[in-house]
Amino acid sequence: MPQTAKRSLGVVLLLFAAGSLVALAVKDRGGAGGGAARGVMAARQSDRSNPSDQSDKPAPNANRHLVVYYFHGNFRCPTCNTIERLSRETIEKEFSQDLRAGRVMFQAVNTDEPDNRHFVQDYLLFAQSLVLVEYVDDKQTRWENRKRIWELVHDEPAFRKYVRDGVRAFLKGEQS
Amino acid sequence: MEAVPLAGALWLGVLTSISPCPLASNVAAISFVARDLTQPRRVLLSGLLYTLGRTVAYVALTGLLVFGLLSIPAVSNFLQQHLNQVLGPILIVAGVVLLELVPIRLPSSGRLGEAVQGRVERWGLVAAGLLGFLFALAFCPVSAALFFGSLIPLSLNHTPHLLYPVLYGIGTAVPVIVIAAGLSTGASAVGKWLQQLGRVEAVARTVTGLLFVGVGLYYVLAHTLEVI
Repeated sequence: MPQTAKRSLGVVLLLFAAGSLVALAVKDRGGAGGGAARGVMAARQSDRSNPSDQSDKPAPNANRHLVVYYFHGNFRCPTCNTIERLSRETIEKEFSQDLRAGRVMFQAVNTDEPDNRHFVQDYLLFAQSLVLVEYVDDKQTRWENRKRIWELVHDEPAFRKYVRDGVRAFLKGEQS
Repeated sequence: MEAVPLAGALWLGVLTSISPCPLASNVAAISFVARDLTQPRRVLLSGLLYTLGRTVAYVALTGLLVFGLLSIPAVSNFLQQHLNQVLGPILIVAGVVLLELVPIRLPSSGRLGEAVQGRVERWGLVAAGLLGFLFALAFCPVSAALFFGSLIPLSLNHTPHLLYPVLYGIGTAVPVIVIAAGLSTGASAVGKWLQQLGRVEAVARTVTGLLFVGVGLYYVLAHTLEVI
């Protein structure tokens, strides 16, 4: 390659690297000021009790339902997509009646969106996570992070069983 | 000290490095560690320093978390988001330097030239360590889940707390070192032939530089600009 072409390519790459950092700074500044619109989930979360205030058992005959949250960021890795797909499929297959009756819901939430960032602290998230949250009369009463999903994701039957057992236990009012 | 948790820490490290999400950084690391194809001893030294860099990063992080100086969600999310965002531009700049696209003039003859050459070689080894340190902290979702969700609890519940991240760090570097060493051994025949043509160093450096630019572009598009 001629020397001038090499030098031009180098300059273009260096400018691209510098430009990406400038774009990042601009985007971060824009993101910090955003967040006027609040989604359904954010609205739901805004009136819930502190996640650390957990009671052991739900009140009998209460208006109770379970939300299975899959929390992810903007960056979606292949393993993360598999976890979401397997979790969603398991809920839809094993709890179809509960889904129709509104006793169970599955929600994928992007925690990189400003309105959803509070979930990171609420549920002490350190990675993409599957969190079971119980609501009684629209107040959060219990939650559990199913942390073993990352160990089991490459063993599909074990993964599905782990998700299914966790949701069943939660629906029965047990903490697994 | 129990053997099972210790083996578990090592296995978690291996599991981290063979999962698909750190694949791009592993490819860059392999090419960098193995760039002196015809000098297996130098490849090994480079690999050891890469391992050391990774291990230092994990030990420091574990120390800060185990002794309660930082919170797991805050650190995990900060590193996953911000380090990956700056890693792309850093790799592109390193690739440009490796490809010598922008001239960096160094004295090439005499005593000063030899001293500079020696320094460049030493810096190559230091860079392997820095690369390990940087790649270790650039957590992706899988490595964050395994490190913060599995290794840190293991470290918290067993003593000596800091032995576990050492084994984890070694585990994360093992596949990179094994592949780099394999490439170095396997390519020695070809390397010798290329060396006769006086091109081996240039070819290895070009491949490494191209991979750095390619991986850097991927990181910029995926993490910095978030367009893929």
